[in-house]
Amino acid sequence: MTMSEAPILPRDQSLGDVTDQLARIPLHFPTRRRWLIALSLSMLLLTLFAVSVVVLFTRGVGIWGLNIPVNWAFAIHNYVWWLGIGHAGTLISALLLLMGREWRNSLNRFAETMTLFAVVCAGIYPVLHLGRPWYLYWMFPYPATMGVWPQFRSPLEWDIWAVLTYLTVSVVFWYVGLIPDLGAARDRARRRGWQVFFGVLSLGWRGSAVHWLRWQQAYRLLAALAVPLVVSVHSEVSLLFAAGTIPGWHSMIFPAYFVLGAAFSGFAVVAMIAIVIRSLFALKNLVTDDHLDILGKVLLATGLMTAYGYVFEIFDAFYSGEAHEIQTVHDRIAGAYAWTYWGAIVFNFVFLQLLWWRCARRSPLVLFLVSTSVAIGMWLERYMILVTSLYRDFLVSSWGSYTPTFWDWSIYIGTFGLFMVPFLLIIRLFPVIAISETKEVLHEEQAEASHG
Amino acid sequence: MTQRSAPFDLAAIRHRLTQGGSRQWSSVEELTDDDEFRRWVEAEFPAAATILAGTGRRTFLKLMGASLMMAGLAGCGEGRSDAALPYVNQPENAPPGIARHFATAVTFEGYAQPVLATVYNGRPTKLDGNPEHPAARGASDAFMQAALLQLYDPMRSKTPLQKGQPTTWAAIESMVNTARAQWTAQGGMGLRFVVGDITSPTIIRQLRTLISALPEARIHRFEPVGCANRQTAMQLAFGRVAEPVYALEQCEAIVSLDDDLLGPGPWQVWHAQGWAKRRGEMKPGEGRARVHVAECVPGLTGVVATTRLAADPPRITLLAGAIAARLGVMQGQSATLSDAEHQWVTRAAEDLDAHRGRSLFSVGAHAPARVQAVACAVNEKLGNVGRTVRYREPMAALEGGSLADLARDMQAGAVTTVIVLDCNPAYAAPAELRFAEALGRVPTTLHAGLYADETAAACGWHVPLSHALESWGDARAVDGSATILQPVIGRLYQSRTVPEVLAMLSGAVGPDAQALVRETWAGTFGDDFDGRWRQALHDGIVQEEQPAPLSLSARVPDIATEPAPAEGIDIVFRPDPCVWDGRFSDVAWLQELPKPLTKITWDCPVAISPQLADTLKVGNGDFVELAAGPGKIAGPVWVMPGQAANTAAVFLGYGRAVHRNLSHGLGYAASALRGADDPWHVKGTIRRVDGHRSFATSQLHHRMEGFDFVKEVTASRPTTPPPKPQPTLYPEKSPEGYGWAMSIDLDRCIGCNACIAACNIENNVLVVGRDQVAMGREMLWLRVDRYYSGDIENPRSYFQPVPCMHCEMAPCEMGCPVNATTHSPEGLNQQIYNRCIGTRTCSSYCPYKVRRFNWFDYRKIDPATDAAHNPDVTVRSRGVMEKCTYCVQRIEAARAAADKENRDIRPGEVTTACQQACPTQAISFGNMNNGDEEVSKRRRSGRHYVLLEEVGTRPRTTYLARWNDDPGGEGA
Repeated sequence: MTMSEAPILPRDQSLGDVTDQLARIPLHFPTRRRWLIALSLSMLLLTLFAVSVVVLFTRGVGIWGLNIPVNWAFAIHNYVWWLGIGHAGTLISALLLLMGREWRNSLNRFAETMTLFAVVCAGIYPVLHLGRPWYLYWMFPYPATMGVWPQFRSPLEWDIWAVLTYLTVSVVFWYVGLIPDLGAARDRARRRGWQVFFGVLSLGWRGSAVHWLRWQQAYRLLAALAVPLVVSVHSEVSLLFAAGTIPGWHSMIFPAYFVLGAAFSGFAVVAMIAIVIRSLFALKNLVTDDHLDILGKVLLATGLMTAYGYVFEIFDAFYSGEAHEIQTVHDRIAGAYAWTYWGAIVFNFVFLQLLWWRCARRSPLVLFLVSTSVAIGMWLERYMILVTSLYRDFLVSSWGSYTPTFWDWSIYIGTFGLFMVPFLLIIRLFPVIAISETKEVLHEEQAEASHG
Repeated sequence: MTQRSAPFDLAAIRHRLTQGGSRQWSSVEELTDDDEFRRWVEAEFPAAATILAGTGRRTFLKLMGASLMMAGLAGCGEGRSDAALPYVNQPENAPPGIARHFATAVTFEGYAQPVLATVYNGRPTKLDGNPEHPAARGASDAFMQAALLQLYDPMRSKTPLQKGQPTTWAAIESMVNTARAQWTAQGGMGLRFVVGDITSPTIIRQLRTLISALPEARIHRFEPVGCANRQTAMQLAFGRVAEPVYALEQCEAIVSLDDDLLGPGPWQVWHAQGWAKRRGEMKPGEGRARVHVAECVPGLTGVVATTRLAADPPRITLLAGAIAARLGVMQGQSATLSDAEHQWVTRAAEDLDAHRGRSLFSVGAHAPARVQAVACAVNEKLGNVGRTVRYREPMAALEGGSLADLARDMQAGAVTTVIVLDCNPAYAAPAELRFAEALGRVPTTLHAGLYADETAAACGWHVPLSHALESWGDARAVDGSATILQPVIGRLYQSRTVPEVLAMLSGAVGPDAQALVRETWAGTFGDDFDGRWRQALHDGIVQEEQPAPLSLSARVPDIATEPAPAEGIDIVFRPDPCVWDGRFSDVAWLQELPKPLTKITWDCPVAISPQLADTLKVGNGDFVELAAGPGKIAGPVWVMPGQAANTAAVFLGYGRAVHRNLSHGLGYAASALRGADDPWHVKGTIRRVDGHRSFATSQLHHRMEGFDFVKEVTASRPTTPPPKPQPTLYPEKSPEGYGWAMSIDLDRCIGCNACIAACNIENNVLVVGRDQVAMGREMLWLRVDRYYSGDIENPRSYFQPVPCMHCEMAPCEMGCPVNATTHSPEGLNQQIYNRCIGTRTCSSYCPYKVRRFNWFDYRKIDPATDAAHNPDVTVRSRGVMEKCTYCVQRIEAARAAADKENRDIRPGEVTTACQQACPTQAISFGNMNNGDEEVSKRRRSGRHYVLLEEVGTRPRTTYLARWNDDPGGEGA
């Protein structure tokens, strides 16, 4: 069942050691100081976010740099960006689980965790971006006395369902996967508080064969549920643009283009987190260089697919012969926001080419830098898609420009706090790598070796 | 407000209410009737002025907006209550919420602009041209529309002032009584009046009576724009004053030398209607309405012209001479014309010659008098007099000296009293007169004005004038007919009308404004006074015998035929198209109205030609300094395509110095450069100086970038390409019932902004301020796009009004997640404000970007008061999208009227505000399912086309292509 002949985990470690090593992290937290520093910084960012949101709700979305024609910008493009990042979690957990790619077992826990909070960051943006956020509930089909319903033709309406579904399934999937590990942590907890905490959360997990059977069924069922979401959520997000008539948006390629871009940015962030966690908690034996190698390959593959989208977008515009589409291509390549286009190309695809070399893929530093560059590149790409299409649409008379204000930036930077604070709390409180699933891989490898 | 703790005694309040009968009250505090409250009310406005003197304009607006809600209370002074509360006893014939209409007029440079005021419960909310008045025929201009907002302008002067401090009318009256004793003793020696152009028979009568009683008193006329120069020209041509009146509807060929006939000003509606009538009757190959324009600063007439030539002011004289010579009016022709000039002159002269009696040669009122006199001779020679041009006694008939005379006399100490009536010479007078300084030497100075402006500050006394809509009065419109002004609202402040002030000066106690006007008309109306008076009030026009046109014979003066030695640049002065000479500069709506050709708001540029910009190496917003004689001004540059190469244009109306007013800090004061002798043109120098100021414009790009948003047809290709079929997956809707549609004839649009102004006022469109406009957040529901094509030195220009397209396949509608924008069965794309949550998807998807968003709570910024708002239209709050509704409130009103009578809505029964205002009838609106309606006919026209047809939105707002009379620059 392993992906390659070579074992991905070193076989010379015992199953018990793995449990000890991973369950120790919450129980006897190793890097308390660094964690506290990280948490305080994140709390600062979260405070910035909270202050910005209060100002936003008090004064209105006018505090951003928006205007007519660019009446969507940071809020929407950061939403797309965060949601894209949130994709890798489900992709790694669910799709690779069903496909039996067991190397994912070392990565899925924090990938899923990352997904959760990336989706939260994404999901909060559409709320912030409303002119009258207090009427958010009008997006839901509740039985209003006036008999008014949401408008089901609107991609925004699909959006809210897609994101909420995705968030729900992600939470359930993450929690179900966590149950056996919570049991293990409970059994190793010495202090009463930890025992109660893990005891309650582990839902009476005893590790009986029936439990394992039920768990396996539930876990795979959820995975099967989650997989379509990977494709549907971001396809749907792309329709937010593609459904409009604006040149640069109104394109059939958008769903595929967006899903691949999302996976691309998501894997980049997973790689970043994997590298940080394995060095922070000394987990090189579990998140091995082989894992990095695979992540690098996936990154390269999804990156090249995204690049194909770029090529095809331009081809599409010229093939259509539409003057406005061609105008938009010109604006992207040589307009006022050409830096976003070329920035996206450079950060997404130029540095990425390093990953053709094995040594680069296996070097944590190189992979980390390339991943960071991809995260930046994809951010620029989202910016580019939004702003370059809107600032010069059809009528020359309504052409405008967009400059983000302090509040645009403060909310965006603040979302890092919104992401990091709960993420740091989770890695403090729960096993950061799936114990049972890692042991499963290790066990299989060892069994294979003894048979072999 | 909240810190006051008046004792609250419910029983006492009940008692007062039962005693007071139908008395209206506005707050419980008022009912407690405590002294503290009364003091507070009295202090409300004077106090606000001092407190706010040091605050920023934005804050000021905010506070004034709030405080104006209390205006009703402050206006209680004269025993009336203006509190906006329901009646206790309902008066008859005044059901709340039902509009009543009154014919009256507002004045602009003395001329009456006849209006029909829409009044809800005693407060006017909309002005439209009086449809029964020949000088309006229902149409209006931006100034007429905005007069309403000037009425409610919180910056208006509210109390009499003595040396800037609030005083009472009683104090003013006692001052006048003392002074009058002295005037009478000296026969009026040292008493001077300064007035603008006045057509009001009552004011003229009163002033003449005063002068006859005080024969040594003098009147000085000062109108910063006005027609003083034209009167000089007429004097030169005919040996007497006269006023030319053009009948453009008779003109098949118009040659205009720097005369912006269709441009802003009191004559705009008159000229635009005439031109459009001729233009509308034009068919290819016959009855042309060709316009040849040579101008130094691009104007609206140049935009619609068949041929246009950019010519520096000295060249205008040469061109006039050349045309006159070709037509045999003058001898000798300059040999120094350039090829382009020569070609233009040839074509213009040929067209004039070919249309004798049906042509017009006009020269701008600010051109040298001699050149204008030549035009009179040319028109006479062509047989145009009596047909396309007639002469009459000037409407502003008051004889008087100039402001320069007064300044000289004041400096000499020969003046003891100056009374300035409704004009602002301290601001607008040429700086070389040093008028304000001279005014300081005069012992007694009294200013009467709508605003406590610069002149008020320079005068010892100031009295607030009533707005025309609050006043009894009279005035003559440009066609010569008189209108009696009747108040459509009670006075908001302690103000008086000009006749009342004059009556006070002549010693009347408690003059009755209406009686003063009645007295004037007693002779004209004769025996049946009451009947004719009532008829005149009802019609908004006095039926009286019009004097026969003057029959005059023009002399031909000598004009230069060789150019004067060129030295420095030509600096010309133009009124600002939105605030004119500054009289409207505190009306926020006009400040925010994009100027027709530059789309600049809240500012005035120094307009220079592209050639000059290239020499100076400056771009839009860079500062230049203009110097002429001792005067200097610095202002940001606007590079104006099509401006004459060596010309810099400066605009009047900015650089205002009243600190607490809205206009303070905007632009430069052009008067610093103006000369007293020739206030329109001066030779000077220009140089680049440090500094940059970005303009807040509503349109950033003016080139069409190769697209054909404005289509043109020519005689050889008189139709637009046929529409392509637009496939759709949605089922086709059958045309049943009403199908509202709008058609905009681009051939008739002169870009005058009347439609925008009317739309703003009809639909309570809020002012957002300079900063927001600079960010691209102006709220205009209807914009007039302006494009150039061709050579930047003399481009072809286009206007294209863009309201909501009301697409049948509206992209916005499918984007909204909450059904806040929906499609009505009659084809309206509706915006439901109270359902909107502000996702802005609709706007993102809109290919025409006609939607506007409330980024903030703009109600807090807009200085207009609730009282000015149309009660039939919601005032939008923060976070809500808005856009053109095709004036759905008017459609529904028509439907209600039709339903009551059990009939269908008649063709033409619904007019949108923009359509109603348009002086050229470029906009038509109606039911396109009825093939007989104008809009259906237009949709079948060969010139019909759809903006961005390729997007497949199927708009209901469509266009008629513009005629290009002169494709390729050759005579067609």
